[in-house]
Amino acid sequence: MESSTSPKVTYAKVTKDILRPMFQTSAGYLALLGLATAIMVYGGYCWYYQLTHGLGAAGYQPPVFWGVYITTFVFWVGIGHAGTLISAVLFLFRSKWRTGVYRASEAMTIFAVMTAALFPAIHVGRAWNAYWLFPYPNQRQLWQNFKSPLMWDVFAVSTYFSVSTIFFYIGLIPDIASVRDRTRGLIHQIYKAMAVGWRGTDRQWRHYMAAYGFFAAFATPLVLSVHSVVSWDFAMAQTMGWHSTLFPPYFVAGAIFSGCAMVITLMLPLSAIFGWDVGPDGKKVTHEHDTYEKDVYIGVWHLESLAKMCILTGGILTYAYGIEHYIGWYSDNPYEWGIFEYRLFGEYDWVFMMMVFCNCIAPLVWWKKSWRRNYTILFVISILINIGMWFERYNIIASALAHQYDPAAWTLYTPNWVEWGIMLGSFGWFFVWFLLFIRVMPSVAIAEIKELVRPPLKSDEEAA
Amino acid sequence: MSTPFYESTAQRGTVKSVFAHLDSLINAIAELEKSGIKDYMVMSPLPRHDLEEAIYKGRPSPVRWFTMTGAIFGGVMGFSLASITHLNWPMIIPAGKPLVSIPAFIVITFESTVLWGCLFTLLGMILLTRLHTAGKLQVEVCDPRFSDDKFGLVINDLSTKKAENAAKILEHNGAMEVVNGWTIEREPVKERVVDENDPESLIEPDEPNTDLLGKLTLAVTIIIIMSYVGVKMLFEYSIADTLKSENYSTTTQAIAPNYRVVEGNSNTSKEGK
Repeated sequence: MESSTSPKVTYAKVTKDILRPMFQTSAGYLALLGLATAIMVYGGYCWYYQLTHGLGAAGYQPPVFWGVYITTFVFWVGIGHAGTLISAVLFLFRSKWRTGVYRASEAMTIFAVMTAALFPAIHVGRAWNAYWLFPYPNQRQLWQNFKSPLMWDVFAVSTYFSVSTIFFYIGLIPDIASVRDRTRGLIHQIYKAMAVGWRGTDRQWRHYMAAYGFFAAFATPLVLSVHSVVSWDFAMAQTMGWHSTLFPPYFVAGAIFSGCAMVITLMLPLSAIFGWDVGPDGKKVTHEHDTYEKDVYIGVWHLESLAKMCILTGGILTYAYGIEHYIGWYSDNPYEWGIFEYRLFGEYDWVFMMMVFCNCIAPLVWWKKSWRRNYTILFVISILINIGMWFERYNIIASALAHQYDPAAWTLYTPNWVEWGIMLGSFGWFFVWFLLFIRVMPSVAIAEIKELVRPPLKSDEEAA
Repeated sequence: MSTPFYESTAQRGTVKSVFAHLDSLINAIAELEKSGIKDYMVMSPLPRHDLEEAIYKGRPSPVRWFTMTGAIFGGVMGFSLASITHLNWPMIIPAGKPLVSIPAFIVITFESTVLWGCLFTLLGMILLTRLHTAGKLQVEVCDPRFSDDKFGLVINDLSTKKAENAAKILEHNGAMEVVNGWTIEREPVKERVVDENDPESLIEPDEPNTDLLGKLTLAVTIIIIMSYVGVKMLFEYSIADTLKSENYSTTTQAIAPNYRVVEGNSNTSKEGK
């Protein structure tokens, strides 16, 4: 949307372009939605099976009582981070590439945290008692233990969800008003209610922008805090392989890494299907030396910037893996080194190899500029990173619990079909929400894109 | 997508103008201020700092006071929640760990600060932008072009002369459309004819349901209050007496033996001996 190179981009064109794909359904879209729903229903069936048969239906092997559910919980909380990073942190840094991708990334955050929030309920078995987690006293006026990291996690994740949702909806209001003014009938009434009377008056914009800045300022430390707190679920425990001060930065870097990869996975097809990588001259902007590279809504420039974020955070992650193992060896503590040796050479070595390949080695191809601007390579590597980050959490959780201090209690944990089914179902649940979102809401921020366009000026017309 | 029908009009005493250019609008605002008109509304499809500067001359929005109040409230509340509940039911750790542990409570305090700061900011934004009454904004403001690519300026409460003057200023500064409410010819308001024999004419015309949210809020509030009163009455008339006679506490809203009043129970003693 750089003004100097694109005299043709106007406010009206932005509104039209972004609203055009809304409410249009194609066979491909319906097929995807159907597939996601089917996967979600299968996950729901698996959960139903577990609810009716008890937690024994999950493949826990004592003493391993944290398995796929907690792994998937941490995975989805991590995915959420990139959305807030892009929408809040990069907003405060006034980064221009964020504008095109931030709306959909924020939606991804909300849906990812919604998915994550299912897992504590699934994990505790008796899901109908999951509300006991919330801070209120029992009949004997006994409150939760606020010194417990699990309680911190409840606060961190619920605050994160609330703040992200407010931030997301506030950002949507001017765009919903734009949809309201371009629809009729029942749909118009629905958007009218959702736009809560937004008319873009000077008073509204003035307080809106001030409040928006504060929401961004509040969301920024949350990016760092949420996954730090999630990491303390592990690091505060006296379990070898978990009990480390390295965990908070290591988890935060991992979360942003996986989140940015997920944004690439989602944005790349979205941009291609909705034609958001089309320049003002009506041609697709994919080439490195294209004049209109920065004039598209979501194009190679945005995806490349995301890939750069992945290179940075992936580097931090690789360093963390290395230092974790080095400290394990250097500590000269047989238990500490024992677990890291087990991760490297034990039954879970394939998980470790998978993690190192997907998170440390595969993203290295993005160091080459032309490769990180190639859509196929971007897409494949982003999916590999998502797989790798799931295995990272699995590697941390399962191996540490399977080999604790007492060799007599060692076991091997392998998830069963119920756990795999619920894990898979969570992807279905996430994609159903995301697919519905892109059809009913403008998935690129209209008002913010207009801020990047040169405003219509009388002086420009007179000069021309 | 189709634009709903909208007729650009203005009520008596109101001047509405539409601008296609941002610089023309800013010039018009400056000239209006010079001529003594300070009360006007400007509509734009996007936030512009130059526009805000022209109207508010750098005065910051008071939203920040809501934010600060909320953050302080949240911080105090989070820390108090954790400390008071721990002091209320002390869990004595023999090695001498403090009951009120600052490092352990920092997380709760921080999260509560952020949450309440955010909620108060939201409240401040709603109250200051008057979003709760925005459904009743005047018709001149509700032009669909203002959420697309045009800017708008509306002035209210003008006499015939002042309105003429304002319209001149706006036109002079390049407004693409100026509607003066005084100059529009209107048909006299028709009185509703009620024919006793025609049932159709007895029905009131549909009114636009603008305050649906307000009615919903009222309904929900009434339902909550009535449920509370209902449950309370049910409780008082059914089992409260029985519980009191058996030394159960009813004041804590919990059906549980009140262990705190039993003397000599060392488990709940605050010394923890």
